[in-house]
Amino acid sequence: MSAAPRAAAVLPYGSGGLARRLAAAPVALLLVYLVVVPLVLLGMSSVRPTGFPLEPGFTVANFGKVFLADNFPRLVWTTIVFALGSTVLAMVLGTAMAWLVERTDLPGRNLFRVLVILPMAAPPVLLAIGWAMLLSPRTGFFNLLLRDLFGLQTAPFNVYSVPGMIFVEALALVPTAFLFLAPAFRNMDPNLEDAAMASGASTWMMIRRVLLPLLWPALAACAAFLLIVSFVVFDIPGTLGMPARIYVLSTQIFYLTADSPTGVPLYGQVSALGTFFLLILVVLGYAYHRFTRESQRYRTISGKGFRPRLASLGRWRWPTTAAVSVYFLLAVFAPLAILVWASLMPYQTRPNAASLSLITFENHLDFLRNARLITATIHSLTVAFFASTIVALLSLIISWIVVRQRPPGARAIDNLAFAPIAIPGVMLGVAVVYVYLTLDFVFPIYGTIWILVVAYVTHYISFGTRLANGVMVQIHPELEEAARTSGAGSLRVLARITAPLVWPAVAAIWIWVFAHAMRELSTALMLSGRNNIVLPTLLWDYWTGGEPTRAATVGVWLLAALAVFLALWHVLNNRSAARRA
Amino acid sequence: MSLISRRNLLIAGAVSIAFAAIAPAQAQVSAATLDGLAAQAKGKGPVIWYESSPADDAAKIAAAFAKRFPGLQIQHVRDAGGAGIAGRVIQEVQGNARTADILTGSASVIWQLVNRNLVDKQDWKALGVPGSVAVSPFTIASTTAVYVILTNRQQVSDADAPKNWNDLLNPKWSGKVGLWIRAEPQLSLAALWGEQKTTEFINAVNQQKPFVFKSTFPLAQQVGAGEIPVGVGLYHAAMVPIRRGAPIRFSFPDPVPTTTLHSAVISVGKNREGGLLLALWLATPEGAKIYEDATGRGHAGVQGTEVQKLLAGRTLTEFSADKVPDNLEMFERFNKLIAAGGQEVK
Repeated sequence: MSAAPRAAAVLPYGSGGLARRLAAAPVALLLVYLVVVPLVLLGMSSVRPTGFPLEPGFTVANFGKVFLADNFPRLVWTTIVFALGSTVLAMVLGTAMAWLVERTDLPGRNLFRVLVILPMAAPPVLLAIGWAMLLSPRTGFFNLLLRDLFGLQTAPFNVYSVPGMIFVEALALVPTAFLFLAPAFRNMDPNLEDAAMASGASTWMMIRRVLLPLLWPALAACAAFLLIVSFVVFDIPGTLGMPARIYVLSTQIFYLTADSPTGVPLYGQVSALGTFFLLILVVLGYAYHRFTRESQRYRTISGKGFRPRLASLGRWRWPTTAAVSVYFLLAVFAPLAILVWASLMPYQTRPNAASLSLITFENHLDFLRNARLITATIHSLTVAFFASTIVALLSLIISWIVVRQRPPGARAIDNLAFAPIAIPGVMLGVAVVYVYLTLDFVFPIYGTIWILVVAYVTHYISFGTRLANGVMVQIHPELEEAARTSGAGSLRVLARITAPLVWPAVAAIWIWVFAHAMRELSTALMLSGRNNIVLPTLLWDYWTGGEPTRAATVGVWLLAALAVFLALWHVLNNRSAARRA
Repeated sequence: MSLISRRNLLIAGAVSIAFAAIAPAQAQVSAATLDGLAAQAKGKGPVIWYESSPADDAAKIAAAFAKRFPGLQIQHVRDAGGAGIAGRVIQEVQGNARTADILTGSASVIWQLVNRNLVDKQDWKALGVPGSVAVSPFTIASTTAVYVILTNRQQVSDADAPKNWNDLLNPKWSGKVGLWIRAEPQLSLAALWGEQKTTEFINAVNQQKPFVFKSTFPLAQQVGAGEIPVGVGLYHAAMVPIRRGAPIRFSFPDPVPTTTLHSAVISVGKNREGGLLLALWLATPEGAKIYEDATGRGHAGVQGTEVQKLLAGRTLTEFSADKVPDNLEMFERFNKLIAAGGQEVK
């Protein structure tokens, strides 16, 4: 039992010696460079009459145009409903899935563990298109099926609505929620649950008094993260909301950037809206710290060995398996199957018997013959590999500093690492362009794949540190203390004790960032140049060029590649676990 | 009169609004001029071209250009959004980075660069380009976007298919019409109808609760897929799914709005001669044909292009490039009307 805090285990913020300060300084400087510089440019842009940060002049008119617009209150309300709805639904599904897969004897849970994160490989634009083909009121496959089966007069579902957007966004967020929560479930000591039950607690009381408090840091971190992501996400509201004139803040930013009536992006107004995002971040960031302030109470990994034990589902075993299978069938396979279908069609058309005669492999053959594909694939893999590796390592180090070392300024470091999540991808792209155009003589990376790596590291470090923090606070420092007592230095402790314990979280960060970097579009578009084409921009080329079937083909190959990658990782992980056992 | 009928010119003249952005006479740029520019452009690096065509299409144009002018290469950078393309140039200039030598886009986009002194002034006449193709010293017409009414053949019969603007206002199309979020066709209609009538038309269409699309390419695809049975889109965007067999029919309304895309040579480009060469070549029959074959978007001012044949005898409407700056505010109002679904937005 190690849930009780020990006062001396963790130093308060601001204490610590010279060594701690020196260890934190390079990380702090790096974060300032990655995060503060773009934010400064964002701020400069918001007060420039033209919106270009390096042009002269000062104005606050951009704020007036944004915040005093008639449609602003409706815009904010729609955004809040969308963000909250998506977060709640994703949390419910993600938590249930993490618990079932990690802590129960659910049959096939190893397969489900891979399947649950599979949608992460699909670019959200394609997922939205897939769901539009399934739930469109006129041609949606499920709507037509239900109308035929039950003789309905009108379509039961309309994906071009706020509930439709929430549903699709929530499904897109479930893999992230799962990756946040699965390590927390995995790292829980079942002795705590046993102790509660042995003391006469009911199952519900055990959940309420033991399970939920133990999971609270991870749940709070996950909810805060998903909420902010839902506030800034563009792809799904852009694909399903904009055609029906349902705008959220992110689609308004896209409108001001890409469809500006003046002929140039209204960066000033975009940046003013960006400050609103930052305000939301401050509020959510504060809430996050409140939630996790007492998190050391909930450490569950200590020097005492334990093996997470699986709860028996009993007679609910097979009904639960059926329910989970139906979820995967509807939420994962249906949209992916529709993408496969689209990739086999010469033009976008709904699946029916009449369309079977149209099936062609031309899109796939063309995809394999296209010379640009090879370049785009190499670029995507390179960018994703470096971005995910850097983010995973940096997240581990930052969390170690913030949660364990706690040097002066630790909270500022944590906030800096969290801040980029509130910068919309489009705006981050603009800011990064300015940074590297200005520093071109030092870092000549403008127009290359390396500018993408820098942008992605900046963008995804928030996810990495939230996940690493959530797990780090669960690990009791007594193991590290024991190592230090035995003469190990700080870095040795990190390498030999802390890193192996948080390895599942680090791996999860790596996979999450790799998958997201492979599909990231909005930042890639803003940073696209002559020599940095990647698969998502190729896909976008096809989509905006009127060839969604070729775009779907790129998505199918992306999915196939990631499925193979995940399967390999799973096999290696299992072998590694078997060796450790 | 090859392109614009006498009736067209009479209408355009009668409304006294700038029209005839599309030229009745094509550029007569001599081979010597082109070869002279090519010689000057060599050794200055690739010609960097910012434009909106898909990269695969642009690669075909680049290959033909390299074949015609050995030793010269095009590096194409795509910006499908349109508005971002000028922003990119401005950013790169401010950062002293290599930027475009030539930009092809709508006049409203190019004018943002003209206002910042980033576009070279040309003596088009001396280069052999008639004033009707290059109505301002900064721009030369490169291609013509033509707006048509699209319908799904499987969902809408020939008899029911809306063929003209007022047909779109029939209540049976409520919630079934797709529009481009950018008011480019509406702006061109205003050249003939005037702002008030066009505003009334936009509001009337808004009563139909139309779907709006970020691009006319997905719009055409959605018409083909049956998501929306009717749409107002671009001819060349509709041809992509049509060539693949999608059940889309199109009709030319009366009048036919067009948007001419212009090329401009960027004054701080490293290979401005190469940029000018490409701009001129695209206005020749050879360059225009290659561009049209690659992108499906033809040059209405050049004899022999498919789009020129398609538009012959029809009433066309568009503000000419030099009038676009005067109409930017109207364009903004139209855009906001469409985006807000009929509600005025500050």
